[in-house]
Amino acid sequence: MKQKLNVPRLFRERYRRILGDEVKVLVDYCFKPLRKSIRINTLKIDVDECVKMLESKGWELKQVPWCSNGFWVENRNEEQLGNTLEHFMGYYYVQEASSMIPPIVLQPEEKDFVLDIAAAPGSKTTQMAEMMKNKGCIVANDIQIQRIKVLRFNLEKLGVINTVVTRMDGRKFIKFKERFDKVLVDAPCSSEGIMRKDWKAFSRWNIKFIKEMAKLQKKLVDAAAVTLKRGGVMVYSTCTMSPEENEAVVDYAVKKHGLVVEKVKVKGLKARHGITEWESQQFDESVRNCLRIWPQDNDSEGFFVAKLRKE
Amino acid sequence: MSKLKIMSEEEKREMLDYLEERFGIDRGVFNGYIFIKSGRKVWITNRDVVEKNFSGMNVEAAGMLFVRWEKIKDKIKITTNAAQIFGKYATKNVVEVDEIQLHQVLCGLNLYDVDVDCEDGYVLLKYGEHILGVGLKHGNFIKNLIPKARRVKKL
Repeated sequence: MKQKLNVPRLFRERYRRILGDEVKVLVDYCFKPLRKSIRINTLKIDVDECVKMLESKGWELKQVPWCSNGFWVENRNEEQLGNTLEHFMGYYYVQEASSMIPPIVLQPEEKDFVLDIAAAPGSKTTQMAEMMKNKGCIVANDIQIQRIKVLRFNLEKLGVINTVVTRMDGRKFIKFKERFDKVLVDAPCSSEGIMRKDWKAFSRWNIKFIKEMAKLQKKLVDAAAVTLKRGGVMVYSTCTMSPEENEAVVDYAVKKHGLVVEKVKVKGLKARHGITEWESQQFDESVRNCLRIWPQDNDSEGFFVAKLRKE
Repeated sequence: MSKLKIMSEEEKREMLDYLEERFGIDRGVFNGYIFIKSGRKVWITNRDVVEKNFSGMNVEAAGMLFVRWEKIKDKIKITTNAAQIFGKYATKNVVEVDEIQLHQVLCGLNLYDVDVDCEDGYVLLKYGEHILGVGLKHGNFIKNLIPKARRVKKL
């Protein structure tokens, strides 16, 4: 419990304003080890067949309710997950259960032209490729060469062929007007939601960084809104809980680009509405339609997901 | 890769001839796929990808690296990733490994004293139903060609 002293006071105060006394539960969860989870790669193997193979080796798997090929692994550590024949073969991908949500909300289809604007390391790109059955096309973009290498490695290992990998500053997609049917903006963020994976992240946590991230996120949303076709769908997601990087960015997308926030229901997922007020700023009422996923809701990472349509 | 250049029919024929001759993979398996060539590398993708507009984008790669075209020895080397997908259609030059050899292959070790009836040159390494990747056979020795980044530390 000594570790709790490392949680910045401001962090607690900010989330007390949203959660009230439940903030204690949030802080408790921030120090609870994250459950390990995998997504079975249906581009290479049938779900039942892979489950059978893993269970025959003594793995205890528990279905992630919102993802038909997602499973929590109850009795293996991270090293064990990465050192199996099935992992070597690309039959499964180690992916946090809440990070499986954005592609499920975007629902890419076989004919779609999709942009994943900040794609590395490729968890969601490979999930979308699987949902599209390797048809259609995904532009998987990232900015740094090292991140691109990891992205390409994962795409190829999982047998993905419907991608074009680009190396660009995501903000530059503003040049390509109305090109994509669907856009995923899984934005770089302050990563508050993944403190469970990296407790030391609290020592780096500060408001200045959150505000810098929010500026970048708005620019990425500008680019995504322009490059999206009329009638197209954008999913905006982060692994953070700060309203500046979540509801405020969605509110900006509504007011600046006229995007419509659609109501989302993900089967088996416990999620809360987006908030409509933060630090004297009033957000559009439709921002309530966003999904705010606290770590304590599903025993997962914290996440935020919004579905936006360009009319 | 600044522009997606579809492989010429002649080069495609040569590549598929090789895969058929070396591994017995029927060329019909590749119907519907598109091959893109850049330098000595060939990528495999689908038709939807090549029909899209990427002008102005800084394209690094398209699809999955399929083969490397080499000047010497066996001139075409199928990649580990492509072998894992298409190797199941192979009817020859496939080496079945046992459980001990499986550990060696996955950890990146070469195989010695292998007694199999295959031609020298590239072979596919198989464990049960799983095509693991590619090895280079010379007599009773098989050089492990699984890329370092794909290897497993311990099973």
